[in-house]
Amino acid sequence: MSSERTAQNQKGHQWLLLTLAGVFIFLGMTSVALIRGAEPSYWLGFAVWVGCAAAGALILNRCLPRHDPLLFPVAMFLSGWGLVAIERLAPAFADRQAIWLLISVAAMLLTAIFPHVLRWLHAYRYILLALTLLLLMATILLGRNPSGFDLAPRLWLGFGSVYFQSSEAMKIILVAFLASYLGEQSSTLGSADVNKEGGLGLSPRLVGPTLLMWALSIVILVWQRDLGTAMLFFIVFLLLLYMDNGSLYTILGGLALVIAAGFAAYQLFEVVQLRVDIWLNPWPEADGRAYQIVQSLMAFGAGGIFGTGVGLGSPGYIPVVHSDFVFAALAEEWGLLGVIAALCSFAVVTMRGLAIGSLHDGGAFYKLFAVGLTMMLTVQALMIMAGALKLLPLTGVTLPFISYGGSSLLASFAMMGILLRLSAGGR
Amino acid sequence: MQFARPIHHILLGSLLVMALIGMAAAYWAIGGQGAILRRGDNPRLIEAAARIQRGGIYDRHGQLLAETVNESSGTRRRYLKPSSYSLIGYYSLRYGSGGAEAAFDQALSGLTEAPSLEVYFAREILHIPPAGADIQLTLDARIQDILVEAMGDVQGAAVVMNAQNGDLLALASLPSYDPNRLDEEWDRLTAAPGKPFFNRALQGQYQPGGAMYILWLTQAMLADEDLSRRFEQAAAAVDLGEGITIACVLQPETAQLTLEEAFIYGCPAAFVSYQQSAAESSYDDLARAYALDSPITLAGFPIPAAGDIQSNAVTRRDTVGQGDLTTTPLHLTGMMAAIAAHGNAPRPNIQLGWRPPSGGEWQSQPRIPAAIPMITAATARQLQDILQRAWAVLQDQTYPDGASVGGYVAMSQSGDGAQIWLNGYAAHVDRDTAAFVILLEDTSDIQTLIAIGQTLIEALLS
Repeated sequence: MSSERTAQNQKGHQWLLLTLAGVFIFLGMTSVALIRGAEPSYWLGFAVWVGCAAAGALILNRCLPRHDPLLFPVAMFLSGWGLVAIERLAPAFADRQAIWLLISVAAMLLTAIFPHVLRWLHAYRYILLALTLLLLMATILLGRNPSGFDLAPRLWLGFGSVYFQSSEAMKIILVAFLASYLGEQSSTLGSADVNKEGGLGLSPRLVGPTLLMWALSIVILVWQRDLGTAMLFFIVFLLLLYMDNGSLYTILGGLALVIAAGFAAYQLFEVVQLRVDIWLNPWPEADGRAYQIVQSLMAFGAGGIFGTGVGLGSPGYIPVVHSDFVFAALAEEWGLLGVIAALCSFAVVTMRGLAIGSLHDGGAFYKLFAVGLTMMLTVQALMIMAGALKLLPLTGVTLPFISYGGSSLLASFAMMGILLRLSAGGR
Repeated sequence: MQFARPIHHILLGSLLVMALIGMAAAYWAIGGQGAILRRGDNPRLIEAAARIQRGGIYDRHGQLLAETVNESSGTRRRYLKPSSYSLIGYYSLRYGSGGAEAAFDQALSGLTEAPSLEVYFAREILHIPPAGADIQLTLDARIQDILVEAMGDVQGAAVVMNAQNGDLLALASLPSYDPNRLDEEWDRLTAAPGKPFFNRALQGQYQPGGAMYILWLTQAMLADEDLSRRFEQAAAAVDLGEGITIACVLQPETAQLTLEEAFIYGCPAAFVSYQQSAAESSYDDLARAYALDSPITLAGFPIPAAGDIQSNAVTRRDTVGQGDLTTTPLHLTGMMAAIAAHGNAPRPNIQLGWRPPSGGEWQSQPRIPAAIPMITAATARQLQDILQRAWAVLQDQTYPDGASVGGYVAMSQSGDGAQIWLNGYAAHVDRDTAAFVILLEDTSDIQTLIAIGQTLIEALLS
């Protein structure tokens, strides 16, 4: 009886949170419509969002009654906020993003409900890793950029007018592989490879995957000039390794490798040099190469505490604002309060995701998998938020759930689906 | 529980980074906000400026000189009186502001409103842009029109000042420009040899040349010199060396001249002879007494202080106004106003009043009350008489009853060019006295200068 009552309460909380998120998004969409003139097309995004939220909640409640009650509302809140932001910043892309939201929520439900997903990811890890590497190779050879600019990084695989960023798919598969590999090795790593002082042992079972991941990141960096994804993969890997062996030296050693690779990349690649230079001192080139980051900081200043209001700011001065710098746009129009709301939302995702990993009783793979996916979302969010605030060099990754980008949204919701399944004790 | 400790550490680390990001955002949104938003390369500043309904600029009789008009593409500044362009200046989102637009920018932009909860709510919460106040200048558009039309296409400056209260009635600087076409003509205007953006009346620092003879005349009066004393070879040219020779502006009929006659004809030799017998410090004292070395505060207009008066012994160059002292037409107008107003020079004033954005009655701008006592009333009266005789020598126009007009011409050299000055006053028993200075650059055409002066005086007395 008590368990049923708890489940009922959680369902109630989930509906309440979704309703609050819906009110927030409705007000945002209304503001955009008032600023621009009330055209019916503005409400397509909101209608899709309401449909996704309602269908998602109903299906999850029916099929996964013990799922985490916070993750789905928070993901829907962030993605709805993203719809409002894209409607405001790049209305030409708003309908497309709404369609991607529909697909993404469907993918989330699929990964959450389909019973064999976790097992397959665990059992066929080498095949999946091979597929991942093939995908990477295909992107290196056949990659395109939707903008059509020759010099832009070619990180997308195109199918007609539909583009998919292969690194987004790699996120899930790579975490699944690492969780599976490290989960199997965890018992031996814990004793044989970590010495008595907590120092890092030199077993090939430990050093091997480290170097493999480092090499993979370097390949991404060198061939695709995708600093953000390279850093993201390596940091998440380091965190999983740390989780597995509990040694701080893992983190320190990995950071040393990051710094070494970063230094070499600075010397070798112009794009890295540019990003580091404007990170260290953007002001002399505020009208030139550092225009984007300086405008981003100005957006934070212009927003102040309460923000300018939806549609009343000028985030359009930031190039590619709807993708890489949507966080700065939120800061300008929703102010510091909006920034705190976004941070709190990601903090909830982080805390619930880590709690799922911590409390799962299915074994090391499931724990590592939950933490890995959570960290993939969290680290990515932190990297782009810190970049927009000049705390880190710009990395060019998207803000999960909020930024424009179909493949990013799809991957984020797919990860959310797996986390929801794990939260319900799924195996 | 397996992995509990590292997961705990990862969670703490993640929350720590989030807190750091929150603090950085708070810094830029609150602490560092002012510094980054005030940067000149912040495009939001231009956007905010474009949203401001800038106030209008009016002349002393309420005639509109500049206004903001709303168009489909945004607001645009419109300037209505070509004769006042050089004084009104320009306001451009691309090029900034100049002239009165710059001097009164804060009031015209509505940025002078006192902080209050209501203002904070309107600006920060509702994002209602401020509206600027209207500014009423002391300028008389009618006199300005007549003066500028009379000056035609010469290069020079003119200042007309109410000698009683310091109101600037006309202020011309030529060549000028059309601020309505600033965006199209900016490059040409900035490269133009006549420097149209340079306000010669307020900022031009010139050698005063013969305009300074009035100082020696004043000194002679104060020292009770015998003004009927004649100086030998007074009509001769004075060689200053380096190829500069200063001669009489008008050729007198005789070579022996009194100081008064030398002043009327603009002959330097008599003053050089007189200076040799004068006390050394008197030149400095007189120049300072006429406030020629004092900075002038005129709303937000940038006015340079007149050149530094050296305390060294007075040289021949100093005597003929070709020494260290330089002066602006505005400074010299102040001197003429002191003579016309019984020895007390009023402080120049350009703003008559203002009107709040919501409209209503004009509010008077508080004046700086104190006039500067420069010379005694008796000396001023004597100088007025001499100026009237000088003006009568220059032309033969008659004026209505109750009117008195005085003025003299002078010449100076600056670099390769020559300037001619007409400094004078026009008084009438029924109205305030006006003092004026007209300067023409790179010419020695006295007749043109006198014709401009005659037209101006007619306008002042009509």
